[in-house]
Amino acid sequence: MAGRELRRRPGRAFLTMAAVALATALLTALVAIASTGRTRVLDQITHGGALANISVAAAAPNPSEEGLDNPTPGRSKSLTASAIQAMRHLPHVTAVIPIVQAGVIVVPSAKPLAGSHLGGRASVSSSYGDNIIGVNLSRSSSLPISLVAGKYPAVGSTTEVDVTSDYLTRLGLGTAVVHEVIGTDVELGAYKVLSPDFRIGLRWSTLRIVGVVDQQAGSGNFLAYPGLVTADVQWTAGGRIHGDTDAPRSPYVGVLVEADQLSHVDGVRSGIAAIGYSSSAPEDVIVSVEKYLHVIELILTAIGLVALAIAALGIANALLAAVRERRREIGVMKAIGARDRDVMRAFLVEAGCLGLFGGIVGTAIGIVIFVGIGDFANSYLTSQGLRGVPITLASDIPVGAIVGAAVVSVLAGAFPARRASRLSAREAVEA
Amino acid sequence: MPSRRVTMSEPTVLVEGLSHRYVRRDSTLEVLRDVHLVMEHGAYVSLVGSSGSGKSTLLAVLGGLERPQSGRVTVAGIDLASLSGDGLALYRRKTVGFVFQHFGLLEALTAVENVELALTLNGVSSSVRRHRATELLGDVGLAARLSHRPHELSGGERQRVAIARAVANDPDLILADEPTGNLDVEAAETVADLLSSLRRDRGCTLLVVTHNPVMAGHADTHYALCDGRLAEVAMQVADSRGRSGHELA
Repeated sequence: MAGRELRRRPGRAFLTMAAVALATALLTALVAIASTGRTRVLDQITHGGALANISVAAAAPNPSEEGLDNPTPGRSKSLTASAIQAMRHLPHVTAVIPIVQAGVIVVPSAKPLAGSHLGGRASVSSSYGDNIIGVNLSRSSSLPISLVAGKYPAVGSTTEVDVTSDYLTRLGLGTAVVHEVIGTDVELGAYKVLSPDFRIGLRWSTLRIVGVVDQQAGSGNFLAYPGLVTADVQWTAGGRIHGDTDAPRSPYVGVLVEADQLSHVDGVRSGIAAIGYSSSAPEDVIVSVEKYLHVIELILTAIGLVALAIAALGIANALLAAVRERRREIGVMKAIGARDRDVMRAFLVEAGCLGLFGGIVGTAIGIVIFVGIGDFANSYLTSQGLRGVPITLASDIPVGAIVGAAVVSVLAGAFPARRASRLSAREAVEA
Repeated sequence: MPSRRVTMSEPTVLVEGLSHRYVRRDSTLEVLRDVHLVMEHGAYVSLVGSSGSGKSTLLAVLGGLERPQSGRVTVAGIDLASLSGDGLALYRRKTVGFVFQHFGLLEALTAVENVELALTLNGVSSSVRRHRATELLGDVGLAARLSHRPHELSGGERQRVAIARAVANDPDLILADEPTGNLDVEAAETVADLLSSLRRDRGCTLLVVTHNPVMAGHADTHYALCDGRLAEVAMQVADSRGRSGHELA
């Protein structure tokens, strides 16, 4: 019946619904943009890793800088398997991911690369020294690693590698053409000192570049699974310099520890210090930034809600007019046995329908606006050589917008509905 | 409660010493004064009176749209003064049926849906109510107009839909307020015949406010309200074209 009543006055119903739709569109777009902006900012701070990530260095803690987000580590200290095991048993720790690193000689691809200042061709003469980082990339969502283009190496692969944008820079490629490097090969040579006269032995691997990443897991421009890197580490460790030195040799350059939530990061870091290692985490920065982002989210949401409130006033006004116009019908309904609450329900359903349909249309428009703005922002960011913004919408935003529009509309309809239900049946019949 | 049905031994309508007044800011208007009325089961009573004589108020009280202020009003054995708001709604749903001069159909609904509405409010299941509403509209000669909206029907057809709706829940008492007031002569005669047949076929008790002599001619008792007082009258003249008169019995 509510639908029929709305169809009786299509112009009014359309305008009222359009007001709700526009308000919901604004609310959806603003909340989605705020949410995406928040994700992007925090992603920038954590380099794509989890918010509650802690980086553990192969070094003892520095007592004078205890409690700082990013303290200067103390003396070098080997990160052993038993230490990592101890970290795994700390309370509130959800993941412990060791990081290995090996020094390598890099010989870039001989495949022609468009845009390279090397005349379109890299060569052995352009070789240089760098590091390869080995980490379990199947846990990439917990790692301070973001995929810029391409993909991560296949699980456990010893033939695939990702590179950072610095590798592209080294080849003279701009960041705008990251895809140029994907699919090319690179030769990495792990080295070791073979004799006291510093003769070098090299162990070459030809690796296929499958992706470009932005990473803060370690110091190096190549990223692979640990199996590949560990072989290089062991090769290097077999050399004379390492074999002769008394310096502690750590199988891992660092460990990434993930706490279950940001508020537990401090406690986990204390536990790591008690085990005997220095750690860093941008927890203070994240907490501060989160507060600011929360305020911005609240302001944008409030703007959307104000628009929705204005639309709700439109619903109330339209329904008040309907109550005046349908006075006699309300009386007739009561005369044939409708209770006050039956009349009230009829008007509330009408208000709810306006809100629900307006909410659905508005949310769809809001999503289109959000995706449009996201596309525009991404095309600008990538043209500037920056990583794009993920255009993903949390499911609770559209659901919340539709439900919110319906609820606000029902609330707006409460006053007219109450007025209708309280009409004197006799006066209404005789109106 | 409204579910109680009248037995053959007690009258369907029993009004004793009913008075009703409206209090304005600076005056009091007494619209009904010590009204007494007895209507036996299956009675057909016509009521006349000048504008403001209290006809509509008497119908409103009997129909449960207004509470009796004094005296005793019993319909189908139900003391209307004892009913709560919901009780009155239930009474209107089950015990009385209204027929209005302005038809009182909901414009958004089709003919069959208007009849169904009364059944819906009475809690009749959807499968039963469509069948019953269709049957009722067939009974009033509107089987071909089921899906028509009120504005697509003539005045007489609208009133027939309203009558079908009024009897949908098989009420004890039908209250009609100038049911032919907005109709042409032919349609008025059809409606008058239809209302009359309700008593014959369904055993309904009818109280009809009318100034239409044809309509009144179907009634077996005639009352007039004058200055809030109810008196039985004898019908003097009633021809089929509207000239009529009453005299006090």
